[in-house]
Parts: sequence; structure tokens; C-alpha cells
Amino acid sequence: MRARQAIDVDGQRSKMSGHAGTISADIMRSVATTQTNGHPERLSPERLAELKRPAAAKTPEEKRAALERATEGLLVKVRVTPDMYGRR
Amino acid sequence: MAPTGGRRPATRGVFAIEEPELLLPDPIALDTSFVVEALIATQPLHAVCRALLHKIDESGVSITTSDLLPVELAEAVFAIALKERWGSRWRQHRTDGRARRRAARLLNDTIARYETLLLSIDHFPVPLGDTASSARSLMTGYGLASYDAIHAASAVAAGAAAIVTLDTGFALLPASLLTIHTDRSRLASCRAKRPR
Repeated sequence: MRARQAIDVDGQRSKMSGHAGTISADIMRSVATTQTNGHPERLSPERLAELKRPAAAKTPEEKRAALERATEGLLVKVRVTPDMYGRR
Repeated sequence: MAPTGGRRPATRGVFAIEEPELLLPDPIALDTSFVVEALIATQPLHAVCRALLHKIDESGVSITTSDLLPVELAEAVFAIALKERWGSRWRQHRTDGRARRRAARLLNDTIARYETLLLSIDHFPVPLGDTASSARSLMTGYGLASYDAIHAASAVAAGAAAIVTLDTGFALLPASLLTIHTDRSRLASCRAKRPR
């Protein structure tokens, strides 16, 4: 039986007792995805619904303006390479 | 007469973001390497990445990112401030406080821009705790580097069929797990890396 089925994880911030004290629900959720035969597991629709952040901008004009503000005019004097954020 | 047809090269699940007919799955995952280029106007692929963001917005698909992304952005910005001051010797000066004021200003600006970007598109941020064990299995199963594995595991967890990236390391994954959307210059190396 998969760990997720065996353990009732209710609520994002709930705590559970464990041999080393309390274990946060986030950690339990992580543990629950370990037994997947080496393949990453999709989150449940309920968890995805929890994570969803709808766009605050609603009209096409607002969205375009937000994108313009985000991507225009940030100038730096050096070229950013992957090793500068920990990649190879 | 020269042949006009012939077999098209196998895509191996790797597609160019410059392609006008590029199909965008919903949701689509964004990697840090893409977001860095899109936000920083002096980067060589800025225009291409910015254009894709507009295409994502216009097509109405949602995006998903790992919570590792803003942390990597902060790391990149700190390194920019060091590199602007110290040039190629920037790594030796990480603990030198003189670049920190510039780093803090740049960090505030960059994170504000990232948050502004997210105002325009429905977004699924995936916490690290939701993907840590999947990331480990991608590292051991396919040889992915740790940060790549976290982004890939987040993408799969959120149901994304594709990731937009300029990092060819994602090509170590089979095409059945994650399609790669990258710039034209990386198509060949990504396709060559795909497991057969």
C-alpha cells in the first residue's frame, strides 16, 4: 500500500506525532510520494487547487501591461551565466 | 531532379520556442534559466523569451514553477552584483559586503518584476516539500543534476507536459516524461542527449 493511502494527511499546517517529535504535513506529504517506482507522481487535483494562484490582472490590456512592466528595462553590466545561479 | 521530401528529423520531444506554430500545453512549466533571460533585458535571448511569455499570456495557458525558482533568481542577482564589482574574480569575493547594497537593490527590483509577471498568468507554484522525493528518483533514475531534478519533478507534479528551459540537462529525461521547449541553438544538443 502506498504511504499516501496509509497516512491521513489533513490540512497544510497540521502536525503529526512521530518518534522524533512532531512532523509537519508538508514533510509527510513529501514522504508519501516516495513509493512510486522511480517515477515522479502528479499532485492530486485537490492539492493543485490549493496551490493555484489565479492571475490578478483580468483584462488582456492589464495582462499585457503587467508583462511589459515585468520584462522591460532591467539592465545589468554583466552577462548572467548558469553557474551564477548554481547550475552547471 | 533533387528530392523535395525526405524524412523529417526526429524531434525527440524537443521544440524551438522561436517556432511560430509552437503548441503550448496547459499548464506549462518555466525553468529559472528561461525566467532570467525574460526578466533581464541585457541577456542575449531576452527578446525571444519575452515573446514567448506574451504568447503564453495570449494563449491563456497557465504556468507552473518550483519554489526553487525565486531562490535561484536571488542567487543570480547576488552574483550579478559581485560580478559587476569584481569581474571574473567574483567568486572569491562572496563574503565582501561592498556589493551587497547593489545586490539588495537589484534583488528587490528583480523579485518585484517576477511577481508582476505572475500577475498576468494563472500560476501553480509547487513547494519543495511536494517534490523532494520525486526529485531524488529523477536524479538516480536519469542522472539529472539536483536543481534540474527539482524543477522537473515540480513540472510533472503539477501536470505540465512541457518545460521551457535553456538548460540542456533536462534532456536526460525521456520525452514521454517531459517535452522540452528551448531556443533553436540548443535543439541539437537536447535531442542528442535524449535517452534512446
